[in-house]
Amino acid sequence: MADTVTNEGHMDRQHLSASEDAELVDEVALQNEAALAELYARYGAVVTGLARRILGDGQLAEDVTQDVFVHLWNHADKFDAHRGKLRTLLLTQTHGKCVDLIRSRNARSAREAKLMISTAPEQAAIDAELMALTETELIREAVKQLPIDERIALETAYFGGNTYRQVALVLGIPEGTVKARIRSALRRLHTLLSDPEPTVPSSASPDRPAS
Amino acid sequence: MTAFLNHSEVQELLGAYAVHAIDDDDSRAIEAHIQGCAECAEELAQLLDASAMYGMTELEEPSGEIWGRIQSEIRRNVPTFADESESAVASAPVISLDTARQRRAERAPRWRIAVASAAAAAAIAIPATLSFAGGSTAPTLAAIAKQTQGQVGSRTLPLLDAAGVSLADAVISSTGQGFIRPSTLTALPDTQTYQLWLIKDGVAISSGLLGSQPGVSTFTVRNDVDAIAISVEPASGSLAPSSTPVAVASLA
Repeated sequence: MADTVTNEGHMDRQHLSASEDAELVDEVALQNEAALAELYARYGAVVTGLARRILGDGQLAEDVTQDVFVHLWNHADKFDAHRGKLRTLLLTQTHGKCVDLIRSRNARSAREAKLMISTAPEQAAIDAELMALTETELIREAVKQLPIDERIALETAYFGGNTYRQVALVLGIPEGTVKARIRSALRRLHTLLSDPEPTVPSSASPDRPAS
Repeated sequence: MTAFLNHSEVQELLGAYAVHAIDDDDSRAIEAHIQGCAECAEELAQLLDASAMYGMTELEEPSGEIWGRIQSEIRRNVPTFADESESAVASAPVISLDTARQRRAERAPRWRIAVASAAAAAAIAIPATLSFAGGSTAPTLAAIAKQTQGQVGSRTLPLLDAAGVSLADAVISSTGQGFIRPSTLTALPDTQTYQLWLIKDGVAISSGLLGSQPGVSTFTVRNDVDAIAISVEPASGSLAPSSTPVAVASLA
């Protein structure tokens, strides 16, 4: 099998952690199809999942997935690891494409912006190698810690594909409030998720004696 | 109506910008500001990371055929190799990196040529700030500009100084995707930048900063613009041109 660990073992799949995304992108820039395949294995499910959540249409979501990875293939040489993470790039592009689709669809049907508050659907079991499930759980936990007003504003904008002005109309709150809540929600998420220590330690001793 | 947003207005909008929740006018104003504001650029990077993580909670494995579609799409964009007989990649989405490296070593010199032509054949839309397309893009942008130049309906216009000498040229596709290709724009001190302007009815609308030592840059031009111009401005850019343009091209 092609995906077995090689004898040298220095680049076995255990070592292909997220920190090596940039290295794979360099390979993709050299038109190394296997490197793109590896990135697809890592992020294909995340990209498709996000697109599906926003668009509500599996076929459309897969079209977006195709676009995102073909775009990466064609533009990998422009990726600068010093300026951002690959997954941020992929998810941002996915989100942008979906929002464009939603808005052109809305422009045709003039449908009203919808509230998109819902619980995440149960997901089918995903090959653990494809995605660090623990990170997904961490993110979900962090989202739950957001103040509910901020969470609603972020969710309505992000998953609903709405502008902040539309969110303000839908929620009946001032535009400035929407801008502030979205920014605050993202800042909180960034803080919660970049903190190496869990916010609520589950097993740490609360009264550790001073050393 | 051209939006101009000051620092605190941009800051307020950064979260909405990071989740594509703003209008195009505001987007352009924010992008223009961020090019010259390290503080906002830093915050935006953090907000984008956060929004990407927020988007990672939904997993759905794409159907098996998607990888095949991606493959046929990317292979259409590169020259076919006569000795390309291995099919492992086609049948197995994941192969070992060592295999990948070995293959790359075998074909690297030829692939490098393929990179340039693949980029040139790719869609010419260059995403703005959100794509991280940055200062290292000049060679590829040059290739794409050249490709655009050869397309039906594209125009190439010299930007002339007061003496009629061409300092740069602009390649504009039929869809309004533009490239500025400096030829003899002299390097400026760090305290200054070249700034690109779109001129409509005598009003100059900023189309972004080109930097003190410009390489090939992209811009978008609407079909009602009369001219494009380049001026020398303070490093943070200007709301309106503060000096006579150093080079102008009429689109009329």
